[in-house]
Amino acid sequence: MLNQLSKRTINIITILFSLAIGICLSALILFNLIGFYEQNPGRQVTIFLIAFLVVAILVLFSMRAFILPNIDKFKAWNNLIFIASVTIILILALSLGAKHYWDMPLVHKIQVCFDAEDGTGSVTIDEIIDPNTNRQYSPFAFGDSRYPLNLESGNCINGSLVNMISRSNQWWIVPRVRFLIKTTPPDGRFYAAVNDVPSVVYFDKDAEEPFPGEVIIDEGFDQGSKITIPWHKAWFLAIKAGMLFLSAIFLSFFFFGLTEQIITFSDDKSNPENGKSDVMD
Amino acid sequence: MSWIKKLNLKYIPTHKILLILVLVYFFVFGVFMAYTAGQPDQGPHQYFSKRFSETWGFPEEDMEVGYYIVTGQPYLYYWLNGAITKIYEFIFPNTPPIRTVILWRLFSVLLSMFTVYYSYKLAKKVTGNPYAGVLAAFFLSNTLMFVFVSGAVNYDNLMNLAAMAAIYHLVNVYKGENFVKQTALTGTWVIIGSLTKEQFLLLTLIIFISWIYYVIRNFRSLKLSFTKTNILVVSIFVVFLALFIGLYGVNLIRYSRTTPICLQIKDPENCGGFVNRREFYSPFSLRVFWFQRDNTTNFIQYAQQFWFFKMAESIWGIISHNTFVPLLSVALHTLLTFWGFINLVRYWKPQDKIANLLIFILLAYSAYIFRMNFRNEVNYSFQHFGISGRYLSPVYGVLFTLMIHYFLKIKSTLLQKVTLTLSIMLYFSGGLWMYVSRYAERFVHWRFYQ
Repeated sequence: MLNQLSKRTINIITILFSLAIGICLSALILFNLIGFYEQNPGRQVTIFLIAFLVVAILVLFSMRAFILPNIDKFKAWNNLIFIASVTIILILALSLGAKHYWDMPLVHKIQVCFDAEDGTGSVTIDEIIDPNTNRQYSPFAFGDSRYPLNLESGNCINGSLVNMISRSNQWWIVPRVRFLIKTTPPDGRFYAAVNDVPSVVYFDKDAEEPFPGEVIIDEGFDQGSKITIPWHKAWFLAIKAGMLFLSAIFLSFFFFGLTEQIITFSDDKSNPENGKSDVMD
Repeated sequence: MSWIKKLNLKYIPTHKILLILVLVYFFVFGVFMAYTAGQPDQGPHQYFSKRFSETWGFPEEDMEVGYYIVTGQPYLYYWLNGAITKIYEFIFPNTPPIRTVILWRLFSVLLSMFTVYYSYKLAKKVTGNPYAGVLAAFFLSNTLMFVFVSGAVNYDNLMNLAAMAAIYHLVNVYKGENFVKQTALTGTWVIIGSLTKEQFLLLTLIIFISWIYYVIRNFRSLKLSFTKTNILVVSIFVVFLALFIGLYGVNLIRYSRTTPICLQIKDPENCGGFVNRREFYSPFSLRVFWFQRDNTTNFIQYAQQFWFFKMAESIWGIISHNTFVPLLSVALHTLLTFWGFINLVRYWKPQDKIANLLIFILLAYSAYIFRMNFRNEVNYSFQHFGISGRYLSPVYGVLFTLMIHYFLKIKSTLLQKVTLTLSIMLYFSGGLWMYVSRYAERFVHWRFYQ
């Protein structure tokens, strides 16, 4: 099939194909990682470009090493059955098993303040967690590189929380945020506003019930801002479905070529007829 | 278009490129784990590494420190950590770029990278197919417990390397390659393992029995050639043999056991820790257990109801000071291993000496770990102390080699391809992808900042 094309044309097609699949696979990887959604758009583009470059090079390598040398074998019935089965398995696994691929990000603005009764002291927030998933919100969203966050009396911390909304209706999940405070805080007023909806907790060492080591807030999460373009658009969903489909097809061809190479490998140097070269053409 | 020509990589075999990619992949995963906490027994391992960084020889026993003893214990891993620390502190006397603990952890990752490399060599040697080697390396690189421990300060990492290398050279002996050189290399690696962790002595015995068996069966056809390389390798072996006798021979004479216990070195009040367990339980020997057989869990029941599942959970999941067991992934890995077992039964041939050797090593070592675990359970009222799949880590590579060896024997090409494809998918999704995709919910909480 490829004999009719010039080497130059094959190279150009291979590179273009690698670039296209590189985009699809990088999207498939990154859109499943919550950390990607927590970045600002500029960083998202940078991360995407780096991932795309690495993946595209790997795709180019696998095209030359595994797919192109076996292109004539694809027509055989057995091989078509293999490719079709693996494509179906991959589509099912990648779409149903996707963690956040189909989800849409919802950004919540948050402000946390503390006022000690005596005007001094601080609260140490060991972690800020989504109690539904045990996911730790990135400390970078609060201007720090790592936890714990130290909140001095009279000060506030501003940040944002990115939650993922599933396309399936998950009514039983109540969005909340947990502030893990392991050391007993000084007496005072702990204020947390999610999307400008305030919640207040008073720390009191003399209270009947001892401090439980955490503060959970569930107010204000219904007012988060959706990043509608592109995440909430139907056309973007269609593009994502297409990218997943293309990735599955490519991966099934890759697995066919790889397993073909594994199974047919022969190191019989004394018999060049049977011996199969292990270097790329 | 000249850069496209360069991308042809014409003279590098594809499997070597794949191997390099797998090694880089493992190293990256290992570095992630080096910054992840919760690995077993970090306190004692760091203590011993620190003690050995105080001197080029053996540190003096600190009689005030409870239970930790240096005297008569396997030392090689700690000695290497100590040597690295001294060199590191010599190069960076004031402001080192990374902390010593991280340096030790990265050294562990490097050791495990060589283990991955030897698993490639072993599978390649056994199957005669370098792609099988790459697959074995890939499987090992995605075995959660292996990578988790690889990122730790832990002598298991050097022990695993020694086990994989020793088994590889033993296979070379069985393949009839340069007998003197391969025997000396097997012996050297076996001693390296024994000088690293006492548990390795059992593998030493298994490998020695296998070697003796080969020698007896092939005594007349053995060729003893003493070339310059062989003499050099034998000399290195003799040096290590002297170190082996210096440790275990001296211990046997001085303490009447392979390694002394704390009470033989320190006063009883300074020996805390694990010996205290005996105060809370009433250990009894397996012989006494026989008389309790109708009232106590027997070993068959124990294996069926607990041990096999716990092993699977702590090989393809993580069970340690931090625990993460992805149940679906563990179940699928178990199923794949069972499929490998079915293929072994279907395609096993008595003439396949190398496969038989690996089966013997795997069974003998697993049986020993099972016995060790069951004995502990009986002694400590089935409290499940020290039950972990990581104790099987020296033979992970053997398991993967056997699985791939028998996968490659499947007669139906379609079934063979489906098996290999699903295996690759499963190991990737249960390895690095599991770590990356669960990072925000799980592994970030284990982040190692120290």
